[in-house]
Amino acid sequence: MTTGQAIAATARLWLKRGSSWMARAKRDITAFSPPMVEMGLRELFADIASNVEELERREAPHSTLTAPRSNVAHVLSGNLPNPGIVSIIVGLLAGARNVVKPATGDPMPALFVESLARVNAKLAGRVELTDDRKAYQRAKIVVSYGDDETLRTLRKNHRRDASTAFFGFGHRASIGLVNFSRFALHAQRSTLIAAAARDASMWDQQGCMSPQCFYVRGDAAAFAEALARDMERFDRHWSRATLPFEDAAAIARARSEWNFRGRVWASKGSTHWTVALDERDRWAPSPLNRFVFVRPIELLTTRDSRSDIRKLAAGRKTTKHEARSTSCALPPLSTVGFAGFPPKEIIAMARADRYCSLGEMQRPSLLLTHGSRPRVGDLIHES
Amino acid sequence: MKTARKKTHPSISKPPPAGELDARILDFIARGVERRVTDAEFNALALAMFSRQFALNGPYRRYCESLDRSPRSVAHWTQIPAAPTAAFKDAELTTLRPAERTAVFHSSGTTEHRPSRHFHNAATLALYEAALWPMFQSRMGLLPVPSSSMDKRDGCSTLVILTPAPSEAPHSSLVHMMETVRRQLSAPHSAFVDVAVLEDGRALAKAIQFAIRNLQSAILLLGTAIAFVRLLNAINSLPLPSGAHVMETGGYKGRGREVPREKLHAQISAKLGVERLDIISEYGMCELSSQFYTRPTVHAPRSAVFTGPPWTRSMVVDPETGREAREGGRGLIRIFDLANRGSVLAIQTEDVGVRRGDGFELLGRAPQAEARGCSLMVAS
Repeated sequence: MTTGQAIAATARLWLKRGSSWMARAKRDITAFSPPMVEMGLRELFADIASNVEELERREAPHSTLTAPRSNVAHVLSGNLPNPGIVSIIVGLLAGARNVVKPATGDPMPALFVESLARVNAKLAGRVELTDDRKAYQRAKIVVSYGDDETLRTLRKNHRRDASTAFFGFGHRASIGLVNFSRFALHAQRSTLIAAAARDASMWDQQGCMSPQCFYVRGDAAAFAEALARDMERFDRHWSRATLPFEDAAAIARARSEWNFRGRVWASKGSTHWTVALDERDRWAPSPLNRFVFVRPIELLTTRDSRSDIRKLAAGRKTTKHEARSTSCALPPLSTVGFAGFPPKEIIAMARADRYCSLGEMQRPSLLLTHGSRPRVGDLIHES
Repeated sequence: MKTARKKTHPSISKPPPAGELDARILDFIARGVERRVTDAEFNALALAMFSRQFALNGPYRRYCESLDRSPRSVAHWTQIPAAPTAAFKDAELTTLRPAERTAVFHSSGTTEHRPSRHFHNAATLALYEAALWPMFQSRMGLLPVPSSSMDKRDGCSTLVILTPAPSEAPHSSLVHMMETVRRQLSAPHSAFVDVAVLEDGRALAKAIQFAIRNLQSAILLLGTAIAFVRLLNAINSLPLPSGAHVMETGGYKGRGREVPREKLHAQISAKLGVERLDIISEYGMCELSSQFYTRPTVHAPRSAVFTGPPWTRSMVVDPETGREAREGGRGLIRIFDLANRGSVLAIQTEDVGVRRGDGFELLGRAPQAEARGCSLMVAS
């Protein structure tokens, strides 16, 4: 059994009807509602089951369970389970011994490794979950996810010589581009809006592939109103998690401000979802947790907006030089989801690591790297 | 689903005249800060004022309409839409025509691109000044003085104000408040320390030492939290004469080290030799016309609960539900200030507090949306 086959078999355990692993994940993951956990993990493991062996063929054709070829540390963030699981899988395909530091209170890495042990104990033995800082500081290769401050600290602490490598996956963001005027029929519009609501609601908008804003050609207000209806529908089936006070306060504050600046459609008596129509020149970040902006697409090309998009892409405040410069090498957006535009036009409008159809923004294939995971080859260190 | 609607302007009945409203507010103020205004009294004036602000304040009316609220649908002051403080940056939230505006207060802060703007004319400024004095007087423990003898208060208190003077900060509501206090106490202009001194703790200490030399009367030391931090960092001890009272106000606006209020007051008490009972905090902002104060008592000398004068109400609103938080619960602070006649009486602040009786304990600023995500930053 190859590593890829073992991982695919593990994924199928999760997908089984009445899977005890899925039940435990729904019970133990508290950052999302149980229905959201189930839907998100089903999609993740379905993708893994379908594609991990192909990934192995493409990126690790000689993967066998010989002695570990490298020592990789994974420092995971807890915003959503997918990046951590994928990171571990890539480490395993690289034949590495993996030291994993899960985010505080995130049970998912342990559950995954436990399920892997059911299929192949030797392979699971290549993953050590630990909070011991020294254990992951000893690693030659560090893969880290989290906020920019965490990455800066880890990078600084990681040994810096030719034999070490650091891969940091920090804050970035995504947008949707919609040519609403191309969708004249009611049925077409319904499908489009459901796809947009799905993208903006999955994993409570916590991932970098979650759109923070839809730029709309055509009647942006009509799009926003329809999107609000579908955000509500989505929330009825896959409700958003209960938020900590600070996150709810950020949404309440933003709702209040955008009620004044633009138009707001919002869940009543809760902060579960919000659609804000913003027709100003400037862009502002979403407080997330299913708070999405809708803006007329003309605003994408204004000077201020271009500068704001660059900040959005960077996921951080840009320096004055970066904001003004057109040549400054800021990273592209994570994902652009689109509908009704030819790909050429989309690429001209916004630079991104990944372009996909609306509705697929939060369903990235394991086979694509698009800047959201390391490549298998990155984690192979021949000493 | 709560939906946003934009309506064409409905026909609005004639709003109550400004003069009539001012007279009613001034009547509340004249009763003093210890006499309660009943809910019915407060409600009647709040609704009349809302009616005027809805009619004459265009951006606010549009905001109310987007929330489906109007004088016809609002029956109680708690239902009056609260304008976010950020709206004072985006729009001219005023019932005053441009030609009527004689003063404007701006929000402070070094990181803000656009400040909030709160416009006044002579009448609303007079309301502002009338509203601020009784609360200040009461909370600072000053004896009420008949207005006829106001001008004879020289020597009653020595005032030292750790803020810029009005000429240096003409758009600061805090400085205008301090100037009003100075005038009420007939203190000299030199009560304001020199603006250059404010940046330098040692110079602040010297200025205070100068003020208290040969002191015959009690000292009132008023200033921003950041000025007190600078002063306290620069001194080991600077005992003020007995009977001193201290009022600190304001946040740090991103400048300097934040010191928790409790620690700041403990340091003021230890280094300036002021009883905890005689140190109070003030909560105000340029978007409001009235101020809220802590009220230390013998039983609770460290009380951090802010309460306002009878012509105000405060609510702590649960951000998740939008409803008032339970007693002891956290939420966003919303203020209803009848002295805000020329703008909007209901203000949604960006501050988080804990509901304590009819007041609140201030916790700090509510978080803002920040850019977040989770993809490749850089590999090295």
